[in-house]
Amino acid sequence: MRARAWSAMGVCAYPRKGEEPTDTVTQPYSTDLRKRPRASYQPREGLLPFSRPWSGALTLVISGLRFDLIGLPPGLDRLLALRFGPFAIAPDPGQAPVLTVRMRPAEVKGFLDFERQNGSKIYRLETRAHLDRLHAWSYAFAGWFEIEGSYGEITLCDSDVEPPARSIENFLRVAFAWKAAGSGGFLLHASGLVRNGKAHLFFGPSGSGKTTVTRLSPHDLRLNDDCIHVRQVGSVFCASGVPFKGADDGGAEHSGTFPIAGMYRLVQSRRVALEPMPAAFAVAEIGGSIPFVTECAAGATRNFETIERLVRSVPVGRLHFRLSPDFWTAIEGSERA
Amino acid sequence: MPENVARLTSVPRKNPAAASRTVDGQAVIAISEQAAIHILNDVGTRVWNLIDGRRRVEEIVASVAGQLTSEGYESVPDDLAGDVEAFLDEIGSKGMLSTDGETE
Repeated sequence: MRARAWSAMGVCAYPRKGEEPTDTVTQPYSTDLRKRPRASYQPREGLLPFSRPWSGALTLVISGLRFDLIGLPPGLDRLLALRFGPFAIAPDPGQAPVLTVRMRPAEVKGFLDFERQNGSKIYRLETRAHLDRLHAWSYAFAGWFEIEGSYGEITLCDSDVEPPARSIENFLRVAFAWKAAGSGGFLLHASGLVRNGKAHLFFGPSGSGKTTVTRLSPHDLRLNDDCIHVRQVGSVFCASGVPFKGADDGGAEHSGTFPIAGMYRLVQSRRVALEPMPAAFAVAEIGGSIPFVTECAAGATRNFETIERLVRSVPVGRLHFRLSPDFWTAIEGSERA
Repeated sequence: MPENVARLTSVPRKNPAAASRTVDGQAVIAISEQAAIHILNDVGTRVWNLIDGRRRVEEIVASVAGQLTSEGYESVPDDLAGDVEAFLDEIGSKGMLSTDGETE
């Protein structure tokens, strides 16, 4: 994904009487899926048996949206069921899938070239909307799905770089983001924790500390360390866990849905403080943390409407935190105030 | 025709890939082609909201000047037209305007 940036322009900031000029702010922003190298990385998670028929199937229900995977190679259905844990459940027979994805074997070794940068593995995932389809491809998969329809296909390579289960997860991450946007919510690049029955969402660019705050809060229920589904249920905005991970140990512990208590743009700091954020900046920050669908103008417009309703009903602030769980004192102090 | 006169009679157009929403008087603009999001301040937002593919730059300048004067701004600079042109150059360089602007 390309880097994302937002900036405020102070080109014509004429102060009213008694007011200061508007600040000019430029801040780099990134929502790419950059991964840090992991000692536990196991490249040969599964080999694709090309010689046997691909007839496995698995259904996932993610935040109320049903995804059917069909044509899975032997063994991969069981591996995915373990990987997706609480989301691999028997669906309600009356619930139609928002997307059915058929797997196909690739006749090439890979699609994108694998890159290393300064010793780190840089994950690359390209997406492009063309006609009525959204195309997505990475090192070891290439796929598409109907943006308004409910069918798609993914072609899998037998790759050590990106094992098939990870390819499918990354394709589903894109597909879920688009289908969630079509259902009135959005997938947010954020970590989420549940405390006292309410969800607290932490967002910011890669490296800002989303996974860190979840590790600093081991006694709270983890919705996810990398992305959260946000949607309105009645008059209340809620957060749901999704199975797409950041770190290997960072997936959702629970597939449930919880009302959102607050949203916090993470700022690594020596002090602990929670500062309120003006609504326009909150909309821009949250909009900049929504992957994939904002690459289409129609998707961004739809998201802006939802995000403004969100920031009018949920506190959004800038959370200065350090490597300690004491940031909760700032959050809970703000709730009491 | 002198360059500044030609500029004042040109008609700026928004990039079709730009999605925007005005929140508390500030335009939040997403440029899908660049995966970028920008925020404009109060006056920048006024200019942005007047860009409709029909108004000339000189009409936008006159409208902004009228708004600022009627709303109690302390002073409207003599060279408001120059500031608006510079602003249009800046948002144009950031991809917010269509590159096929026309001059009447």
